[in-house]
Amino acid sequence: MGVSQAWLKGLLLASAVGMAAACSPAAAPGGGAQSGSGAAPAAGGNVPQPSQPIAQAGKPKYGGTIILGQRDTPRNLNYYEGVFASQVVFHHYYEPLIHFDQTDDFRVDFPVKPWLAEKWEQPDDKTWVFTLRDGVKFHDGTPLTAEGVVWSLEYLRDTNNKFPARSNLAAVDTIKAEGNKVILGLKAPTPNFLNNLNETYILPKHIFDQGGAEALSSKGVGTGPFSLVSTEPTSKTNFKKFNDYWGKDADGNKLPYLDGIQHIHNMDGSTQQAAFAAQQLDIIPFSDKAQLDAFQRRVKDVKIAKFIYSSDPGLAINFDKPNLAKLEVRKALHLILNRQEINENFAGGEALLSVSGISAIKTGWVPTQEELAKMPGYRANKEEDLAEAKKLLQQAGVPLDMPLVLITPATFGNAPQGEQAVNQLQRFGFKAQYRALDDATFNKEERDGNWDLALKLHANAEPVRARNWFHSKGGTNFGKLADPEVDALIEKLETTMDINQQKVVGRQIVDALMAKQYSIPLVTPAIYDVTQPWVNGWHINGAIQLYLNPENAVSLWVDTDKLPAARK
Amino acid sequence: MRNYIIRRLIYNIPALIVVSLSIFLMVRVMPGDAAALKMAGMEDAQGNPALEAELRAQMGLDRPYMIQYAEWIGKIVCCGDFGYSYYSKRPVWDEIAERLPVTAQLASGTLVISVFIAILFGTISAVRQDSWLDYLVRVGNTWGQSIPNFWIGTLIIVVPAFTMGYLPPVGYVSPLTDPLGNLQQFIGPWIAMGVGFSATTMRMTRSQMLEVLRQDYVRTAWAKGLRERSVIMGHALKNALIPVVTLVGINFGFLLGGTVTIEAVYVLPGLGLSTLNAINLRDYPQIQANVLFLTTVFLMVNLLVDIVYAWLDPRIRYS
Repeated sequence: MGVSQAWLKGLLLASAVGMAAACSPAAAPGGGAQSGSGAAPAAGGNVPQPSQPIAQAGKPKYGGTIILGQRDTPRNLNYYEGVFASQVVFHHYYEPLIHFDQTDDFRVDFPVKPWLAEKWEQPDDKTWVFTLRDGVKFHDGTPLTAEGVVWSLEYLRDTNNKFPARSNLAAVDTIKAEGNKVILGLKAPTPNFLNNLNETYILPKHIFDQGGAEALSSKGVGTGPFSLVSTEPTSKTNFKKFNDYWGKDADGNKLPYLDGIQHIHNMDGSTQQAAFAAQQLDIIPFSDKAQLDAFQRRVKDVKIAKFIYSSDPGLAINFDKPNLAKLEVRKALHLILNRQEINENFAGGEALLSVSGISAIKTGWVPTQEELAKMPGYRANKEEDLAEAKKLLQQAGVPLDMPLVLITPATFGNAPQGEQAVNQLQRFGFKAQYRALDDATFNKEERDGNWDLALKLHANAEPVRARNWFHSKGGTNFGKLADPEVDALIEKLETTMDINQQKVVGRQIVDALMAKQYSIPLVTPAIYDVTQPWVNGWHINGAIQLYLNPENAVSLWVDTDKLPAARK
Repeated sequence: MRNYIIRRLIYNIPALIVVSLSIFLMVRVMPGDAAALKMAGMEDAQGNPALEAELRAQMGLDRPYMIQYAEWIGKIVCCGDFGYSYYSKRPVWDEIAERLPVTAQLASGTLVISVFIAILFGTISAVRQDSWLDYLVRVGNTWGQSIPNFWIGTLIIVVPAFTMGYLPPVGYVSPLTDPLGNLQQFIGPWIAMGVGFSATTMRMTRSQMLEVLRQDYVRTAWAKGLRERSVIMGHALKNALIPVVTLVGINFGFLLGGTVTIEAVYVLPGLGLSTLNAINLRDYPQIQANVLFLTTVFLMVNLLVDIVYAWLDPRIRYS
């Protein structure tokens, strides 16, 4: 390749990465936990398959440091403070009592595995007894005790502390310790209660006793596999292996394998890609297939893993707007949108067709991709759909050039879907407007009702999350949907203990939401994690973006023989 | 001169009051606030308006604007207390102190490079007026002025990384701990910003030089048979640079507050990036403190420029 060609390609790439900075995946406001899986099928294609950890070579080796980059900086090391940006580092040093088992695809049935709690039992519907693992220590050598766990949970739910995460324990009435057991008494039987404990980390009481809330915010002492060495929000955060960590692998070897983890802060998408190309970063995420393909052409020796979000994007509807309160108009909107086109343009044909309320990935709970691909609104042939949409709008007495405002957070990885949806609505004749807003503005506009359609997450692999969006008292039901039938179904799901019965109720919820078109599903795209060839043991199905969860923090290992000289 | 400086310092007080009021009100008319953003991070908590109200009260956002403003200004004036970040819970001044050296280094280096380019090529362009060299410099000047510095900055990062696998070490390193690593990190942004900032200074240098070169004393210098270098450097350039000094000073003020995009591209944790992050998070105390600090520096730089101006040109007297 000549010099001029190299420069030309560099220029083109620079343009691409500039856009990557704007579109790189970020937490969606109101997103809650997100997760995904590999082996994603094309829309209308195969049934979602369980994911696998990224390909690894040989047996795990000890040693090496993984370097990760991200835009965010750790502003506060106390998880309970609810500083979302700090989550990038929480998982290394804090741990929960239990954790979703991510060695397989957890998104369908959410199997839970022991973590700081070795086991648990449920003597009755309202009582959970967790037995703590022996020999767990905090990084400063202080042992973990049941009293300490009780303090941590009480500290979280103390209303004086005003921690947003206290809602994780909303169902809990009493918390007490007995020996090495922690006993939680619930206000009422709560199906899937354990899901709320998945990210309820245990903080160190003794650190609070020494220095109060300020010490919790700055010291970052936990029981996790890595202890904090230094954190400079302006530059880097360094972790080193915690030698007294309790975890062992299947062969009885001590965990973790890595010597350390380093986070580089303040990196935008283009800088992360350049740093990966220069072998200064080990893992980077892509949410745009076209960008990934362009990157792969430049940087070839990489491993790529793919997973599908288990939180699905769709268009929420503002029921305060008279036109949108009409079922015919909502159905027309559903029919006008061409998901197959969005899938091709936005996700390289690798997305799933989404449904309302429950994630499309949840096999057995929602219509299959094959079924969806034949349904009006989803099918590839749009002629019939568009004709039907016109008829419905005429029936509703709504002009075909109705104005519509679609809002979305600009940092939302799915924002380009919203832009495409608006393009399709404009092609149909609507005076549709696309407004990508910064997170705070989106929040405000959404609450104030200054929108017709809002692109946000509207389906999750945890069915109980449907309450937030579709129940009349749901926390993020800003469109003010109020349907007693939907409310009743959601409440029924929340009190249904049997998993098979939950599936039945879950399907009823999806059918009700779809029949009345209470939201307009789009497509659920894949996320791609690109790793250096020396990185092994990366489970992408549980980690959203680069937030290492406990599972990844202990399973990652580096093939030190393959490390570049500068990194050895 | 002393009276002039005192008078200028006093004149700056109303300017600072206006800026403090403006920034205070501007951040509050931006949609959304930190309490709502914190709630948004926890979907299950969003249906809890009482909790959000508690958070807002904890941040002091539930009180009338005038009380919030009076408290903020009062603490600054009486105790030098600029407040605490809503997120890190640290004094916002700590963040300014951490980040100022980065921005100062970025701005200083950029200024040096831009002045070097501007004076060198501005002088060449004037001395060789209407030659191919002059046209080349002027085209380059227009190019430098019209291309955004973040684009040049991105190219400087991306092209070596993807073609040669080279990138300066990522993650800011202090010049005190690793001078070479620090230099590698800063040379790219200095060039990227220096090219753009040199453009206006270069035009000013050229036009001033053209004017001075037509002055009688320069003609006299030529007539005396002095060498070209002596005439240009010793007689013409020295006098042509007086207005340029003003422009360079103003540029330095702009640089201190205008490095956001370059800081983001080059992962340099300066005040610009801090302000941008604070705006995105609606961290009012941090935004207010950063803007007020940068405004104060800008005013002081302007004053300094005026003083230097008088020193350079003894004919100028401030009364």
